[in-house]
Amino acid sequence: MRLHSIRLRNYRGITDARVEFSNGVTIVEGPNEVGKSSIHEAITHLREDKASSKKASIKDLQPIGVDAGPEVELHLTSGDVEMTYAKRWLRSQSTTLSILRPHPEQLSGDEAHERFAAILADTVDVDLLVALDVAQGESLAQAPMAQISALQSALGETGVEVADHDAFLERVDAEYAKHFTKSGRPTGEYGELQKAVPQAREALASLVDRSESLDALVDRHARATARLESVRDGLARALSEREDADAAFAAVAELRTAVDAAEDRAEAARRESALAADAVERRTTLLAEATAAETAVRTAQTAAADLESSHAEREAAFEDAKQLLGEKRSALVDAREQTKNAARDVARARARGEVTALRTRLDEIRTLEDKRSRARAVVGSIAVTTADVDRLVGLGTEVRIATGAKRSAAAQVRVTRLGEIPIAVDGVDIAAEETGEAAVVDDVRIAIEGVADITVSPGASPVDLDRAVTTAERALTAEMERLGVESLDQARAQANRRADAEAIVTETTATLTAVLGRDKRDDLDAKLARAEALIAGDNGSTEDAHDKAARDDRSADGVASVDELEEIVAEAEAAADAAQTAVAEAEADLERTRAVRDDSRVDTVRAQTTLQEARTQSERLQAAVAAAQADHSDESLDAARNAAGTRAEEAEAAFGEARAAYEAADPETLEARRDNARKVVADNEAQQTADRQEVDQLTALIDDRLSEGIFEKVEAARESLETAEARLARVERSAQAIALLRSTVYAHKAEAQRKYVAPFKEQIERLGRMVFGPTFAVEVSEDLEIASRTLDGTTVPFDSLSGGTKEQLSLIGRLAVAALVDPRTGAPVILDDAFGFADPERLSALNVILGRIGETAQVVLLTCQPDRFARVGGASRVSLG
Amino acid sequence: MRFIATGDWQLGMTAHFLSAEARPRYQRARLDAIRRIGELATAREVDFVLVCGDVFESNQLDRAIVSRTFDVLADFTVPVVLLPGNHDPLDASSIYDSPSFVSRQPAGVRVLRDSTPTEVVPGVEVVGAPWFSKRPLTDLVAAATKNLAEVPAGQVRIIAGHGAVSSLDPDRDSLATIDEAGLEKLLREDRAQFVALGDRHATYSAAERIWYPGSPEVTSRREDDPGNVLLVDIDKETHAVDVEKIPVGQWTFTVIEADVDSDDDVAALETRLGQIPEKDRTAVWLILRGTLSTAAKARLDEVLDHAGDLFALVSVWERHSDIAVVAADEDFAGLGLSGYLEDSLDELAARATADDAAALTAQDALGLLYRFARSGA
Repeated sequence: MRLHSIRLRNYRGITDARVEFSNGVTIVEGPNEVGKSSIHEAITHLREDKASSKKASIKDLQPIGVDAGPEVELHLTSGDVEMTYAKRWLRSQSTTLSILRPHPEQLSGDEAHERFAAILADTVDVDLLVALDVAQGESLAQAPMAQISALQSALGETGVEVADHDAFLERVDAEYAKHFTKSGRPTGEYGELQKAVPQAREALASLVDRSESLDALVDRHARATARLESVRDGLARALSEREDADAAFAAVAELRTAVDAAEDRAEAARRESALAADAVERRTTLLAEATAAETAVRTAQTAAADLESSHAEREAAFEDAKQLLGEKRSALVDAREQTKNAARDVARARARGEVTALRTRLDEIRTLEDKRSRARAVVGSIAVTTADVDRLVGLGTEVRIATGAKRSAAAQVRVTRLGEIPIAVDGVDIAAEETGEAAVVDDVRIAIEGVADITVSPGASPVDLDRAVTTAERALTAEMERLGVESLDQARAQANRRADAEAIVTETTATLTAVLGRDKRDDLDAKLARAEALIAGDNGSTEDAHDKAARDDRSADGVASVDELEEIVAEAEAAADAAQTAVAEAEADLERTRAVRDDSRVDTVRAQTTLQEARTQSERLQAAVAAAQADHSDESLDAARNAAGTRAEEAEAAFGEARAAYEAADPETLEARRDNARKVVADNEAQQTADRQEVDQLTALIDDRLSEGIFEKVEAARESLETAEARLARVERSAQAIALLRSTVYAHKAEAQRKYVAPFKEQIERLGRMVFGPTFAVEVSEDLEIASRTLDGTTVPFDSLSGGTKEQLSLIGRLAVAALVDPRTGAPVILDDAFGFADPERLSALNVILGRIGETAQVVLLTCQPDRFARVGGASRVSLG
Repeated sequence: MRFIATGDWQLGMTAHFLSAEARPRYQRARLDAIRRIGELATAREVDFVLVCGDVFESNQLDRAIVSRTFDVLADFTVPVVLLPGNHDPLDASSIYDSPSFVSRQPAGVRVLRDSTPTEVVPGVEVVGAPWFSKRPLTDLVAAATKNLAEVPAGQVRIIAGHGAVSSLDPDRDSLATIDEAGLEKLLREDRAQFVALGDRHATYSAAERIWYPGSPEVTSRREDDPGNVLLVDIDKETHAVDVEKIPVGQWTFTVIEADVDSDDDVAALETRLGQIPEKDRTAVWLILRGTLSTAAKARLDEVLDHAGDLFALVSVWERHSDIAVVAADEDFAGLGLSGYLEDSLDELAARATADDAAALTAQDALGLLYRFARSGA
């Protein structure tokens, strides 16, 4: 189809415009409002909408304020037919078709509309026409290429035509759908059987298990029954064995009884024999005892006699010792008496010495005491002390001070003698050139010889000064009165006498103290008195003659010294001590002899007692022997003992024989056998009970299990399984067959399709490389859509590409179609405002492509931006408006 | 005297390999065969019926089978002697000890519970060797007959046993194998006059006077002469024995072998199947070998589908069968296959002739392709 020209009148904003199309590329420029899109739209309306159409899109065509209806006239050639087709809508509707070639013809109205449509249908592929007509804003989407039969025939010529086996494929798909889901999973009977077979197999296995477990129970029952029978036999055997063992054991028990009896007898005989031997033993002992007792009597007699004689000697020794002790004691008393007398002489001699010393000392003391007494009397007579004197001096001084003060306060009269004229002041002459002074305490009389006598009387002197003088004078006077002195010197003399007396008192006191020492005065007196009394006492006492004689002896020899006397005392004391020692020795000796004597006395008594007892014992034993022998003679006892011994030996032998017989019967083994037999019986009985129980239990269990009729169930399950397996095998075979057929057919179809789309793909790639470069490749699907683009080895699905690339690829696809189809049956490519997304570089490449396409196909570019297509070679340019 | 020897009734047995429709009929047929034995006993005036083991398929059966069996046996006019076999041994689960058996046992029905000689009719005693477990550890028949004395004239002794005789038992070492020589000696010494054995479902004479009567109704496709009973005549005085085999079964299990290499072969098979009488009581296992075109295979499938509707069972015995399907050009010519369908056909045809497991799938796929293309053409 070729468009030659189009004329629009009263169409939207266009009053009247005509565009001539070249056979190649025609670029129609003009702003949007002017209606460059209207050309594209007008062709569509012309083709599709009858003149009588009232639809909104038609109504929109009516320009405002214009009386005439919108009108389109298109001059075109389609196939062999060249014609002019015009329509006016809304007002003065009309449709006219003027066929110019090959046979001129004029039609109008619906007839024209129908005819035009018929011509198009005959000569051009309407799908192609639509596909190549790209309205503004639709450029991003790919056109549905697969249904374009023009393209199909173009591809069929170049590539391999894909046969139309749709009906066959439908049948294949339908059959496949019986067995498989779209995703290829088994479904329908096939799917159900695939699930059912394992279930059936499981069900059968479980039932077979039940059946086999029942068989196992039956087997167990058979085994238990067999065991029960065998245990029954075993029990019978065990019972008979037990009987035998019991009998054997009873026999051996009798032997045991015999052994026990023999043992008892042997024991009794043994006891009797022992008793007889015992009697003989006792008799022998008795006789021996009697003999021993007689011997003991004799021994005791001898012992007692010996002791009695030695006791008498010891008694005598004791008496001698007593005697000796008396003598020694008398000697001791004498020695003590002598000692006492000697001591008295010594004491008396000492007393006499002491009296003399004491008297001398006391005389000295008494002299000192007298001297001190006199001095004390002086002190007592004089009251004035040195302190008093000091006080009087002080009081005198105070009087002087008070007087001084009074004088100082009085007027002073100073008289200086200037001339030769004597002058006396209060009688005192004043030498020439000298100055006499006087205080006017009393009247002062100044006599200037020859000149004047002047009396200066004091004024009234200050009272307090007067009083102070008075007080001081009174105090002095009072003190002197108290002391009884007239003057201070008197007082001082008296005080000195008193001090001398006091010194004497002090001195005598110190001497007395020294003389007394530690002794007290009264003690000394007492001591003297005692010593004097002692001497006097001696003289006054009643001395025995001896003493008197002894003193007299000494007196005769002169006065014996104290030392000599003390020596005598010491001698006497030594004699007394010796006597004392002798007494002690004698006492000890006495004690010793007394103890010896007492011991011997005890021994003697004891020996006598022993003798007595021995005699009693001997007599008793003699009596016992006599009595015993009266009962049984010694000979009869011996005979009885011998007889009993023989009997015991015989009983022992019998016991030994019985025991040997018993042991020979092997009672231990017999007992073990009997016990074992009993246990075997018990074991068998227990086993029998257990087995019987098991048999009963199994019987009950089996009866219970039998009631369900498991055989039929197993068979039914086996039947179900086999049926299902057979069905599955059949269905599976069908399913595999259809799956194989389908996959084979589709694989071959895809292969055919691939071959079929090859030219289209190649054309797209040829054009595309101009835009995208040499690595550009596309994948074209069976339905001729661009599925993906590959660039530099990277493949991106179409839907994931950018808007610009999508647009470019879509347009390249359309252009490829335009290039492929037969120009006679082809359709113009109409692009309304395309490539809005392209960058300048790509745009320029697209310009080249459009120029190339324009060489074989008609291309109409509607644009408001003529720059976009400035580089399309060989294009004619038309400006609208 | 005269009696019917039978065995291996296997009552309660199911035949799950049959079509669902045929199974209940088959189960009924096994009881019907018993009923016919009863009628035969009456007609031929026998003294009793001896069943040599495996009266029941299992001890684990639902006891309802006992009632149905007794319902049939109640119509018998002669005594029926039952011997427990390996399927229904006298163990703890024995069906013969079940309350439904013990409480409803008809007067004429006896069970050989041990080897004590049982006088069934005057002058005729049966010595049975019943099974007490599924795995006996000894030759039960030998044990049962060990102490038997010679049978005087005027009396007859019949031995009833169950199990494989030594000449039949593949497991020679089995402890339970019946000593055939011993039985022959027993018969020779006239200590017994006839030995009836169960366990083998086909009628078979192991030796003179030693018989397996077999199952009265077929139980397996392997049996070569099933469905009979034995009518045994024994002269009480001379002890002469006469055995007559009488068929009572009505079902047939058969195996058909055929080579199928063409449409004609398929048609011949169809004819052959069509000629089989009493199809609803017949199970057919087919052993088919050959190479068929896709179209011929489709035809074969149709034939078998149709036969399956008529027979109790029609089954291709896959283990022994071998049918190859090839895509013949003439099959697909004229179906207008072009373009990628043609390519697909070529590929599947190539795979169908490959020598691997997937070839069968490819053959099936070719069949489908054929069907779909033909229905479109």
